[in-house]
Order: sequence, then C-alpha cells, then structure tokens
Amino acid sequence: MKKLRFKRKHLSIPYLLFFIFFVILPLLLIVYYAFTDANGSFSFGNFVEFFGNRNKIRLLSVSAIIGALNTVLCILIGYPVAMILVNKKFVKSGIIVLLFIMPMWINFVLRTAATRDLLYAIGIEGGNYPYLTTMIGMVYNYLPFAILPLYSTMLKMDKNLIEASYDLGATKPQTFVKTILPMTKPGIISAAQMVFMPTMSSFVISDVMGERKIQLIGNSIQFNFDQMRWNEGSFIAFIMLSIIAILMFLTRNTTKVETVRGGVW
Amino acid sequence: MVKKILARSYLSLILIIMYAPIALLIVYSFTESTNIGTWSGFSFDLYRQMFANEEIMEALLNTILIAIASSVVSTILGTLGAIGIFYSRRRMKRVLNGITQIPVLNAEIVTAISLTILFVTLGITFNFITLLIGHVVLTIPFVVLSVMPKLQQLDPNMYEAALDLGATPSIALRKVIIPEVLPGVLSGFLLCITLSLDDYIITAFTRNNSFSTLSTYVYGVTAKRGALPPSLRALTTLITILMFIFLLLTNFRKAKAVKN
Amino acid sequence: MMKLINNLINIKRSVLALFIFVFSLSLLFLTGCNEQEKVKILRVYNWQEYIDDGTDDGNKVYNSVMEDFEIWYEEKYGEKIIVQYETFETNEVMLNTLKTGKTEYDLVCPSEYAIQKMIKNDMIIKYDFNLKDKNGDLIFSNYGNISDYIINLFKEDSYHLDEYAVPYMWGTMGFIYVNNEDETNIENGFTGFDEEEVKHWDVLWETDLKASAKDSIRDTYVVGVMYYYRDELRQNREVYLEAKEAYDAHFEDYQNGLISENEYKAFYDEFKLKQDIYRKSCGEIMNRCDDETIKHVEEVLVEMKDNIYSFEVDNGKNDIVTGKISLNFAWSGDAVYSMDVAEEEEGVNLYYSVPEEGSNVWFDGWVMPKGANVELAQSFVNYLCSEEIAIRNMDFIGYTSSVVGDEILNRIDENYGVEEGDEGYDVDLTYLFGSHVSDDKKDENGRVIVTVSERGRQFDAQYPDEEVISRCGIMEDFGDQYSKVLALWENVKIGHISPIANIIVIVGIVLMVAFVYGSKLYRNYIRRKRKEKFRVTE
Repeated sequence: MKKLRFKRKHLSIPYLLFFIFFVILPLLLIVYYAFTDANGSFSFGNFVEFFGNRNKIRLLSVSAIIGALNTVLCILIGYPVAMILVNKKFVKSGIIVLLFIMPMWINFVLRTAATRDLLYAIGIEGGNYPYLTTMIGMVYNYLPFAILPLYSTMLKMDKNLIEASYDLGATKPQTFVKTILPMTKPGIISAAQMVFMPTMSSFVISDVMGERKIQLIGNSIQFNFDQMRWNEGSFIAFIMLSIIAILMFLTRNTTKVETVRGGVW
Repeated sequence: MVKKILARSYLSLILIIMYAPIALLIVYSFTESTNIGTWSGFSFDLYRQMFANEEIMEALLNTILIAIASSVVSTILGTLGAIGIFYSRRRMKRVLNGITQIPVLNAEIVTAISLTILFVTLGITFNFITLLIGHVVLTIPFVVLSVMPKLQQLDPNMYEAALDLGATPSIALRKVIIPEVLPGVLSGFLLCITLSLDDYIITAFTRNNSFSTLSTYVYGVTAKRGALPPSLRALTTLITILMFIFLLLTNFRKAKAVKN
Repeated sequence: MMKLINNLINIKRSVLALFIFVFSLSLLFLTGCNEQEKVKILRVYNWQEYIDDGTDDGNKVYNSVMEDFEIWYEEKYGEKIIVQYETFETNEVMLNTLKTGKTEYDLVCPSEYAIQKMIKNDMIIKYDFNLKDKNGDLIFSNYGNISDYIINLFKEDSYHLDEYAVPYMWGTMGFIYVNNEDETNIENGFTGFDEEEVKHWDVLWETDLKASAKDSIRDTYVVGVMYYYRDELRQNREVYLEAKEAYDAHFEDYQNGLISENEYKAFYDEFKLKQDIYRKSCGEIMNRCDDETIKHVEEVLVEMKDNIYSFEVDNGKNDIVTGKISLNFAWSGDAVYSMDVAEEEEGVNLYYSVPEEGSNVWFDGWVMPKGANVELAQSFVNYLCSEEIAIRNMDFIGYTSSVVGDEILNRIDENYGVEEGDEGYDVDLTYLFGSHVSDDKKDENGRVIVTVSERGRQFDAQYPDEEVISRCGIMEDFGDQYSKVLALWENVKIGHISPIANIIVIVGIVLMVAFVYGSKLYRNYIRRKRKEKFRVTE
C-alpha cells in the first residue's frame, strides 16, 4: 500500500466537516422548510403568502430602510473614529481601540436595557418615539462592528500613497476622495455587511427599545418560530439568505474584504 | 494642534456616549433605590444582593464557562482550519473561504433557527453541547479571519527549510508555523470570547432551559420587570472592573513587547 | 474512501484527537440526557413569578415552596429529591419547548386553551387520582380543597380538562389604573383615569400613550373583539341587569317574609338561568373569529396600537408602578402585585376594574407531559393544593388560588376585612366557596358573605363577585382560524406602514445598481479613452 504523507491542507478536514454539519446542512434544512407545507409536501404556499401580503412586503421595506439608515450612520460616525485611531499623531496607544469593543463584554441585552433606561431618564421614551429609540439602540449596538473593519483596513493602508497624492498637488478633499476612500473601500463594504443584515434581522433591540411596538423582519421570523410555524418562518429566513447572497454577489469583485475583520488585539 | 484637540474631543465624545448607559448603571449601583433617577443614599447593599442571588451567580458562571469552552474549541478548530485552507489548492481554497463567510454574513437569528431545526430534526434534547456548537459556529470564522493575515505574512520557505533539515511535517508545523501565527490565534481567541459573552440570540435558541446565561437571564428579567433589576447594576460594575483590569494587562503586555 | 481513511491515519495524533472530539460531540448529545438518574429529579416548568420562590430580606433567606417540598418529601419518604424549576413567559414558548423536545419536564402549568391544545396533540397524560404512594396512602389527598365551581368548569369542557389538569391559579383580565378620584392620589398629585372611563373598552382607544396592552395574540384579540361588539354586549347586559334587579327585589321580599320559600326558589332558578344565558352570550361573542370579525378586529387594533404606550409581555405590572404608564390591561394577579408594590414604594393607589362589556376569565392548571414521573409530579401538585401552601403562594404572587376553604376565608378576613366599628361592604362568594367551608362561616341562608373594607382594589381583583364572573367568558383555542388570527396579529404589530417605504427601497436598489454598474462603465470608458490617447501619441 502506498504510504500517504501528512499534508498541511489536511488540517482543514475537521473544519470542513464541522461546517458541513453545522452550517451548510442546517441552511439546507431551512430551504427545505421554506418550500414545504406543514405536512412536509412541496409547496409554494409560503412564497404566495409572503409576496401576496402587502404588509409583509412593507415590513421588508421598513426593515431594509432601518438597516440602511443604521449602516450609513454607523459608517459616518465610525469612519472618523477609525481614522483618528490609526493616526499615531492623535492616539498613541493601541489600547484605545479596545475601548470601543469592550462594552461587548457587558452583555448586549444588558447594555440595550441600560440604554433604554438612560433614554427614559432623559425623557426620550420608547412608547412615544419607538422608531427613534430603536434607531439609537441600533447605532449604539452596531457601532463597534463598523469601527472594527474600518480600523483594520486603515491600519494596512499604504501611507506613502497619501503622501504621494499631496506631493502631486492634490488638495485635501481630492486626496480623500481619490486616494483614501478607494483604499478603505474593503473596510466600508465589510462594515456595511456587518451592520446591515444584523440590523434588519435583530429582534431584541426593537423589542426592548421600541416597547414592542416595532416589528422588523427579525421579529417576524422569531414570532413565526414561537408559534411553531416553521415553514413560514423558514421562508422569511430564506428571503434573508437570498438578500445576503445577492449582496455577496454584488461585492464579489472587491477583494480582500474578508481579511479586514478581526485582528484588533 | 487644533486638529489634535478636535480629533481627541470627537473620540472622547463618542466614547462618553457609548459608556453613558454603563456609567449610569455603575453610579446607581451604590444606592438602594429601585428606580434610576432617584438617589436614596449611598449603600453597598446591591452588591450583597448580587452575590446572594444564586441565579445571577449561576448565570455569570455559565456565561464564562460557555465563553471559554466555545473559544477554546473555535480557536483550535479554526487555527488548524486556517492553516489547512491556506495550503489548499486554489479551488478548494475558494470554496473554504466562501463557506467561512457564511456565519459572518448570515443573520444571527437565521443561524440560530437553522441550528434549532437541525437539532430538533435529529431528535436531540438540547444540552450544553448544542449550545457549544451554536457558539462555535458563531465565533469560528473570526479565528480563521484573524489567523489568515499572519499566514500570509509567513515566509513560505521556512516550512520547507524545516522539512529539509529533517523535521517531520508535524514538528515543522508546531515549531515553525504555529509560533509565527500565534498573535493571530490569540487575537482570534479574544474575539471569540468577546462575541460569546455578548451573544443572546444563538444562546437563547440552542440552550437547554436549565442552562441560563447572563443574556438569557437579563432578557427574562427585563421582560418581566421593565426596568433592569437593581442587583444587575452591581453586576455591571463588576464586569466593568474586570474589563479594565484586562485592558491594563493587555496594555502592559503591549508596552513590554514594544520595549523588547 | 480508502485513500481518505489512510490520510486520516497518518495525520498526527493531536489532529486525530480533535477529529474524534468533533464526532463524539454528535454522539454525546444523542445519548447525553440519560445519565442523570441517580437522585430523583422533578422537572417543573412554570410561568415566571408564579410561585413562592423564596425571598431574601437582607437578614434571612426564606425557603421557596420547591425547597420546602424537597424537605417535606424527604421527611415523608426518606428519599432525597431535587426540584429543577424553570419558567416561561408565554404559553407559546412553553408549547414550543415541549413540542420540539428541547427540554423535557414532569410538570407544566399552562392556561386552559393551551391544555386543550396539548390534549388535542396527545402531549400530556391523565392524572391518576387514585394513585397510592409506597406507604399505601392516597397521594391526592388535597384534591377536595379545589373549588367545585372550577372543577365543574373543567368538567364542562369538551376536552375533559379535569382528567388531565389540576387547577392552580385563576383570575380575570381587566384594567389596573391610577384612579383620579382616590383621595391619596389627589393629595399627591397622581393623575390617571376616572372610574367612569375605565368601565368601558373604549378607554384603550383614548389613552394618549398612557396605557399598555399585552403583547399576546389572544389577550389583545379579546380586547379588539369586545371593543368591536361593544353595542351588542351592552344590550345583553341591560337585559341581565333588569333580571338581576327583579331578583334582588324578590330576595328582599323573601327575607321580609312577603313571599314563600318555594316562590323565591322559582325566582332564583329563573334568575340563574338568565345569568347563565348572559354568561354564555359573553363567551360566544368573545370567541368569535370568523373572517368578518377578524377583518374588523384588525382594523380596530391597528388603531389602538397608535394610541397606546406599549405592548408588554410581563413588564406592565412594574411599568405602572414606576409611572411609565397609568393604565394597563392586566391579569388580576399582576394587578394585585402592582397595587401592593405601588402603595408601598410610590404611595400611589391603583385600582382594578373589569369592563362592563365583559372580559376574559382564565384558569391555569398543572399537567404532566408524556414521560413524566407521575408519582413525584402528582405528589408535588398535591402539596401545592394544601391550604397552607396555597396561601403562601397567593401572598407571594398576588394571584388567586383555586384552593378554597376555611383558612382561605380567614386570610381574606385578615387581609381585607373591616376594623371593628368601621363600615364595610358585603360581597357574596357563595359561588366559589359554596360547599367547601364549615357551617359557622355561612349565614342563615347558607351563603358565604365576606365583609371587606374597600372595593375596587386588591380584594376585588382577587375575588371577583358573581356579577363580574357572569360577564366573563373563557377564551377557547382559535382552531382552524388560528393562522388567520396569527396573520392579523402580525399585521397589527406591523401597524400602519405607508407604501412610500416600498418606493424608497425600490429607488434605493435602483440607485445602488446604477452606481455599481455605472462606475464600472465609467471606468471602462476612461480606460478606453486613455488607450486611444496613447495610440494617438504613439
């Protein structure tokens, strides 16, 4: 028998198996449930029900708008933060960036409830302004997820190119638009990916901050699963999966998006 | 100079806003008042209440337990996975890189229900292992993503050199590759801990009801109490203190590394 | 395949160990749950805050009912047991847990409709009321403590609830509110609602973000139905009130010796009949869920959503104490809890009122899921049915136990009775206590009358009189209409969303696609131009 040598690539076999069992197989099950009815036979019933219901479509829209708004806000707030953080002139210690992540150690539910209590104490009540408080809660919670990839990209940014841009006579805004922005594009896309989907599909923040008057796609999935309507819930989950697939397809040409997550410590 | 002040004040402003709710809880952890906003004298009673509350203590312990367990599993599996992926052939590499992205990009609730469906289909009574798997799915991509960049920086000739000098592949792996990527592994591990501590959705869906973590406990009590129960303020202080101790330690470590 | 296995064998031990670990994971949780059989464990799944689960007042830690049961059981049978106690927030969460088998239990405490569902789906087993323990004693010695009134309602049920469930707590749903007319409230400047306002469901449509309703399909569906059919309900009530007035006059005549006992009995029976008709009509209207009703209920509830402060799961009872809201549609027991806490902590006097159009009366019972440890489970339920433990639980959570008896009457007197010489109000609780109390607690007509110091507060929430009960219906399962009601509820939670949202999203998507492809085209265009330029210069 031919003796086979250990190769480094074999190290990925357990990893691959784990993913097949616990990531891919479960997702296939979701697709299966999405296109069957309660008796297990193939059906487009959930499809018809979802797209035939004007309210569900509007729910999807509202969730997308909140998601997009949150993405824009997080990036707008987070971008300058990341820029300041990578600039050695302003921030000497790398520890400061950790300060933006550390709140995550205090659990997210606890933080969200605390935010609600704080807002209540200063007179912004969830019952009166449910959308406002929900938005605040979203930004508050997802800002670190936007800062992280932006920060990692900017760390890798080639500073010489910025110098070169100035040397060639570009003004500050020109340099920013023509040099810095394109270089940080993977970070921006990555940040958007980390914020948009989770916002759309979150249900805890909308429940806690909006006094349960706000419904997002995430609430809808959770509601259907609570009511043992797996097929309907799975179909909505399937729609989310499709949206992710489309977004991945749109950003497929932007290389190195995946390499900018992580690497803070 | 003006720019520096401006930049620093912007940073401080954001940090203040981010820490405001936590600070509020910490301040009000030193009074007995049930409502935030009314101060009823200085007291350490909430701390006594917190330590006497078995539910909170158990939840805290469980949270730490699952965070460490899932991070260890994720880190081992993920680091080996990352090395494997890096040295795979091009097509395989693309496939593996692709599936690594799935849990990151996927909505957390979709991941959670997909795992629930899987476990229920298999007819399993939910237990610690199901929860562990849930957390590993959540955290493992971040290990791979943290280790990958270090692998790219690695000198490809070193491994070959080790082999030429007579090392077996596994020794070469342990003595050459692992030490080089160790910072990435460590960073991945800490990211795992962070994500695991923070998580609610996956925990809620994949746990056995008898296993409560801080997030499920807090979610339960805020649902029934409205405002946060006072003893949780004391808990927030405790975690914050631990957090800052950890930060200082990291700071020292980094400072030392810089000196050396 | 062979190649793969060979590969595996050659991988270094550490990798292999990991490999085995991952696989043993899957094996582990297939077998994992059968290992803990040494000490008997009673796994109880109950509503949140629905039992005396122990207190700690700073000086002393008091045992929970579960801990006391463990001690009691060990003393009686010399066997150590552990009660593993967990809680759920809604019946749906509970059903989900049991159906999926996520966690297994010996004893669960759902509401009547959920019990019906569980019977229908064959999820629970019948009680064995004749089961004997190992000493030969009857386990269910306290079953007689449960009010006949409730047992009979369980028996009347088409699913034979009485065979599967032992009643635990029961109550009505109504409004708990800050009363504008209460003197303490006026003094302290707390404002909320007038007594007249909260007598009708309309109040939830006119609260100006000061009230909250339940985040539960069934509880809020009732609100919608009652509001939508309010005129019909009011008419029925008029008829009933006339009958009651006539009966009251006859009773007075009888007491004054103007009519004979037989004549009075005839009037009494006639009145009871009319009361029953009224009760059933309320129940019928409440349970309407035909397509037409669903459509209208959705409309009124969407309207209501814009007017209330929040939908709450269980936090309303605290929100009203802290002053976030000043009216809450609540379960009677939560109302009692809120009244107690609000009085003590904030000095607000809260009141409870069941709307005149009618409301919901509900019952929770202990059931045993399949595979339960029957002996241990029944033993625990029996323990809960003793008057002493029932009182402990009532005092702790504020709900009303189905257990009745002399001691419970004494407790009512202790908590709500009048001081010597003060004026009180008489309330007739014969319907509930009937045959369960000793004769010296009854008056000469065999009725059980309690005299209480105030109306509209804790006592009324805990023990509704017969008149209130007669306008409350039991809400049944929606049956085939369930999915339509679910759709209704989702639409209510989504509320009014303008179609502009759709337009914004479509415009957004178009812009994004245009940007992505536009920039690509632009880049290509620039590149082409540059090339041409080079060519020209060459």
